[in-house]
Amino acid sequence: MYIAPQITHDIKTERADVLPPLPNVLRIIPIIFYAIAALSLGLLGLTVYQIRGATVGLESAQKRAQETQRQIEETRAARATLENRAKLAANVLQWVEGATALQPLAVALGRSMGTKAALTELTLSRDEKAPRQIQLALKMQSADALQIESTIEAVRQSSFRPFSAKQSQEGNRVSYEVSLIHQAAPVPKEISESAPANE
Amino acid sequence: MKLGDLKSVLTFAAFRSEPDDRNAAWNRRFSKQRTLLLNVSRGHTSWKILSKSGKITDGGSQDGDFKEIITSMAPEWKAQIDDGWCCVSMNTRYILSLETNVSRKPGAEEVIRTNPRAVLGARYEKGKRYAYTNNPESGSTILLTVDEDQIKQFESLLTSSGFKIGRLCCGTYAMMRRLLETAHSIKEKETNPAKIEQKSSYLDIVCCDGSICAMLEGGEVWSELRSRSDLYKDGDYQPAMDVLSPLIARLDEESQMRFVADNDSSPILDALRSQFPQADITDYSQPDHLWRVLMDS
Repeated sequence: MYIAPQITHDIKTERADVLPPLPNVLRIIPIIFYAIAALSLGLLGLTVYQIRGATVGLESAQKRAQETQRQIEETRAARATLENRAKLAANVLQWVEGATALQPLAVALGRSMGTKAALTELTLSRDEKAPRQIQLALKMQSADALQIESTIEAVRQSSFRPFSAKQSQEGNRVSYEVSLIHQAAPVPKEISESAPANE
Repeated sequence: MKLGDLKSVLTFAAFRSEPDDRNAAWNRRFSKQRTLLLNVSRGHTSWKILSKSGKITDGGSQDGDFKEIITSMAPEWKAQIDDGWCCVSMNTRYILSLETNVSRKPGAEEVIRTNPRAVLGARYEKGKRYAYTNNPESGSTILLTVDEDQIKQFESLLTSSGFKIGRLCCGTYAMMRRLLETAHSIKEKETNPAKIEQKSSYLDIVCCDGSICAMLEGGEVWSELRSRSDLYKDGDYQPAMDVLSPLIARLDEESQMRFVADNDSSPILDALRSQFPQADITDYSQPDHLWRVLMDS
């Protein structure tokens, strides 16, 4: 004989609305609920943290942008000052170049004339827009065909480089026009407009 | 769905048995609550407090009418428990009898609570409540009968004193049921198979706070049951011996007595042994036996 164990009997007046407990497997429902709630709170916290971080980053970036903008303005101002000074220096240089003494050139031209040559006319002129360039125009009478060569060599030795030469000859009368540019001092480079501001 | 239902699911309360759920064991219903265990006999009441961890702790007993005792003790009891829940052994004015041909349809144990006539047939009496234990091998049934008015009187008395009744039962019947479960368990058959085979008949004796119930088992058949509530008092066990004597007289030499009392080292067992020195008595009593039965452990 086997009598199965049983919960102790109960003869009290029963309540009608007593319900049996829900199956344990359904505990997964509140567990999922709490897990989702915890996850949501975690995500909310993470979002708030990231928003705060982003706000701080934005403020920092804005400050950096303002600082950079200020530096750009300062650099632009410094560049404008520098450009003004460079222009001034260029003007001074032009003035200095424009003021190059022409007496040595005239002397060198005179001395370059050979015994069979006679300088009849010599003109040295300077353009205002290009003071470094000197327009040389000379007329001479010479029976020597190499006279013009020695004259040009004398010009070169006086630190002038000839270009755009025009030469004409009628019998012994030689007419020669050339542009000269002085090569004694190197010309400083101008600051490029396209160069970066911080250079 | 009500908001309360949602709340009970989210607090996991819906997955625990309700305190009123008689189908759940006591320790499952009140796993983290202190509760009161009461055993009420005629002219004597004893009690124990069940701690949150399920241990039987402080207790006491008092002679007198239960109505007077609860009036005086209710504040002290309520101070020691949570939420007023109690388990009551109504160990008085009950009838235990051996019946035959009680319905054994599936679910009959539930039906007897709502429609006892369907289970008991002509044995049903109006104004009574029943519980029963079937013998699985024969047509006999132990039937507990309690007066419904008495139950309602108890419930009214306890409710008006601020207690909530988690279980109302009969201690003697519960102990008899537990004794049969223990004696006819698979474990018992595995541990003592020879012993069970040898004995031709058994006398199961339950003594619970002045009440006695004895049932004669012959083989797989329950042949006779005698029960008296409020029969004896401490120190005077002769009324109990008078009830047991005719049953013991029917035992042969190979028969055995299974004894269980509401506590271990019961003086009535000593009285029984001195009265019947030749009897082979096995004591199934444990410390706080009645209280352990009430709390389903």
